[in-house]
Amino acid sequence: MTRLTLVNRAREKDLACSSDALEVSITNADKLEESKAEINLLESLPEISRLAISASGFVFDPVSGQSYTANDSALAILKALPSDLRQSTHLSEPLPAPLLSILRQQFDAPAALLERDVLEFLGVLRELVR
Amino acid sequence: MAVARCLKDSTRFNLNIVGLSYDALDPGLYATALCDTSWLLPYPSVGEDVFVERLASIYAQTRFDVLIPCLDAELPVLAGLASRLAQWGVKTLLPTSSQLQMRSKDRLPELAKQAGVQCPATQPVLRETFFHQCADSGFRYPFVVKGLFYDAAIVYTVEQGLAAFRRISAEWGLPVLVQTLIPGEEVNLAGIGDGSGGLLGAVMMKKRQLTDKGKAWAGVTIHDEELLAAAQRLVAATRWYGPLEVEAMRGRDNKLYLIEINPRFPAWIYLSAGANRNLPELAVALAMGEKIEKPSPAPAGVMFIRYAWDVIVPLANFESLVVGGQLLTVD
Repeated sequence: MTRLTLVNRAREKDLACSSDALEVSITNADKLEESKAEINLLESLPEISRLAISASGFVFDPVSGQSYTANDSALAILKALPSDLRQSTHLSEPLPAPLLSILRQQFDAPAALLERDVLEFLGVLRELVR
Repeated sequence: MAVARCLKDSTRFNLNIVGLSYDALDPGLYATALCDTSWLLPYPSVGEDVFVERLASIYAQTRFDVLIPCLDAELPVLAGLASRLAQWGVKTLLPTSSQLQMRSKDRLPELAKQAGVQCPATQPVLRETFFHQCADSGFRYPFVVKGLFYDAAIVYTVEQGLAAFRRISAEWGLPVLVQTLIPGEEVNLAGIGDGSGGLLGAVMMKKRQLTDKGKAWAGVTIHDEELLAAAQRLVAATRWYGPLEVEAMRGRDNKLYLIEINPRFPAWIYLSAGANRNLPELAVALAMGEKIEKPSPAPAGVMFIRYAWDVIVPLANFESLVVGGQLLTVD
């Protein structure tokens, strides 16, 4: 299903969070909890909210000067964030329903799996732009 | 050349640029689109009298209004000549000798502490034996070896340390500085101190591509509030007068560490014109005593990418500089 990728071209690394619905299922509760636990480390989200995101998927961090390219999946999440997380200073679990609702309209995936992928993606993003 | 290019881009002034250099192979001397006239100066190390005599001779022929030094090594000499230059009628934005001393590499930790900015341990080194016994002074490999005015190398072993010490001391003299290595990413700020503790026109830049000496070959403007606040405190602590560049590292611990303060515009200063914050133009306006409005920091997201350019020089042009110290162009 969804592959969430954020490519930092300057570092020439493909920093990807990916999952496969065939391999990851809702029964893998430990992993899900693990992801949620990781994302709970995101006590604040100003770093993500400062990103300048263009429709083409070009993402610029005005503080670090780094730029990234986001694929369609990553861009969908980033664009969905403003109405939820990008306005927040604290991320609580579970992910806000509006965010998941927006993404479920675009991705054919179970909510729990979608949530796990998004949390994992945000974790990687948080590491990139801290 | 970057300062001259900024000044040629000025929308406020229509300026004649008098290019001064120490080396007849300095390409800026032959860049007639940037320098209206070009002259050779003797190195300040030949002695103040010779230097002043030559500068006075050039001034008599060109009557330049403002002098903007662009090299670290000439600042101490020119700072001492500030009053004489003023008598001639030349306007400058020169820090005092004591201000220069405050930001010198060997005293940087002291200033950083005063301004509440973190700074890696820095120590002057006079003898090669240091590199065998550096652990006694709290330095563990790898660390940075720096010249007083220019050049730096990261050394990982005693042998590399010794090689860097010999190379840098031969070129830039003693002492050589050693500095704890801060892994992370370098961020820089260019600005102008107003002499009363205020910072004018900050332009912040993150290097995106480096030369083998760690110099910026590409970069992008950023907006880092912590860097800006640190620079403002440093300028306030020194009451800096004139252009400066603050070099800092954003460490992997996400903390900001002061690495250097350079007492002149950086080589990447044309980015300031590109970001609509032409700092050399602002410096001229300040020196001329014009009323200026403090510009806001430059917007983030303006890039520069440098390239090398061959200037074709008729031998007669080169000859005129080598023999007469002034460029006389021959088509």
